Amino acid sequence: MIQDWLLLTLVGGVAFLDRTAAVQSMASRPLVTGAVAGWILGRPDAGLLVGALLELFWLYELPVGAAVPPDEAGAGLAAAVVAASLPDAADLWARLGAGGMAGLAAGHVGGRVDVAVRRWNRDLVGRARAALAAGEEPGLGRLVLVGGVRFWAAGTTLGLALAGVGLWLGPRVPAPAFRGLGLLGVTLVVLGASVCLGRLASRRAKGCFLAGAMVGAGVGKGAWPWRG
Amino acid sequence: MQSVGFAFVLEPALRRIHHTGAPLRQAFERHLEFFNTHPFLASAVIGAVVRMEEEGAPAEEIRRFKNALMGPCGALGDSFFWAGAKPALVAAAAALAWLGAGWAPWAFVAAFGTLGLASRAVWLVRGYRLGPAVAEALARVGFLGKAQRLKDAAAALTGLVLAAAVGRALGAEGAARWLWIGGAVLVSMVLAEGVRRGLRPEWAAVALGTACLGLGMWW
Repeated sequence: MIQDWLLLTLVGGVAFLDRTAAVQSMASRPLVTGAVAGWILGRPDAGLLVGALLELFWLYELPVGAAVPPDEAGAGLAAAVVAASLPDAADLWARLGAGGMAGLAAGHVGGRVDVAVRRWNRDLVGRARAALAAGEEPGLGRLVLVGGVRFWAAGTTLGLALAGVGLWLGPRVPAPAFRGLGLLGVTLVVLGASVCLGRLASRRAKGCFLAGAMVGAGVGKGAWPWRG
Repeated sequence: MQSVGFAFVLEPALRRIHHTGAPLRQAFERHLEFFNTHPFLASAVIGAVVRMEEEGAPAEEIRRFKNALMGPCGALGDSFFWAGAKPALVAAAAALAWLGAGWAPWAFVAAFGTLGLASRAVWLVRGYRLGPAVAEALARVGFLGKAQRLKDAAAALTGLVLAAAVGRALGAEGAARWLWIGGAVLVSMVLAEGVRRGLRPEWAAVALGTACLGLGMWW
């Protein structure tokens, strides 16, 4: 378990860095962090699908201008940890319900951490200017590294906390709650889809949404039972 | 916000152009000023600025160019990459995940990573070749029209995800499956209208979560 916790912490640190501070390869998305965390904990399907669920909520949360969206990296991690840590008796939908709620909460905590680190990094420009004013080298490479390390440290600490809480909380979810959590899992998918559609807010988007739903209904198993 | 990073990226070029002393210091100073734009299109500005520095453009002209372009680059990049390409690719990956493809996240990272790297590389080179005229080149790409088509695709894929997930959850077949999925789609569209009018999704999740847990205990 300690090994899993450390691996999850590592994932948290790297993903938090990837969000905005470095690379931005989208490895920080809940779909990816959830899949990785679920795989680490031996439940790749739960991790992948709870990440896919969370994506619906934050597909249109944009880092526009100075706005900082919720921390989707930490959310995916927390969601997958809770989803994977539930007792064996819990089915997939109960895992999605529990993980989804954990992820939504963790996203907002992580978003505040992100804002705090950005405020902390504001001093870096001043340090470069002060060096120039003193006739010294600005040391830009070192300052970029300092900023990155601060993000990584914050992400690692956040990952440590989220993974720790998730690993502690998951096994303690009582069995009587599983049915309600299963219902919640389906509800969150519906709510997530509505958030996406609500943010798009156009008649054309509604038409496309309906078309996609018809295709999705038509391609699934059991859609046309008379075909066998 | 991105000023240290902007100056850091320019540093090798600035050292090659200005060598040492006051001209180099002044170049660092002007590129440590406020700068914030979309990370993938920032390379267009970087390339053009390198070209302008090489050609000895006045500092004020470079400053005006950066200030003039960072807003539009931000808007175009946000519309196309963050509100268009990313949601479409994420929704496609989520749909694949619900249909059982465990490789979906990696396909998404590969696809978006390729798009991001290619954009940065292409616009860096174009910015350098065109200089300030890169602004016209950016306008000709038609980012906004392409973004709209990607948003349509994302909306369709979201509908597909909903239907696939609900179908899987309920395991119903035939007419019952279509009825359940139809009901979910209808509820989703009603809630979407609520979101559009200001409903906070997190609070809706808490309220629905409480209701679900209560229903689960009682049922």
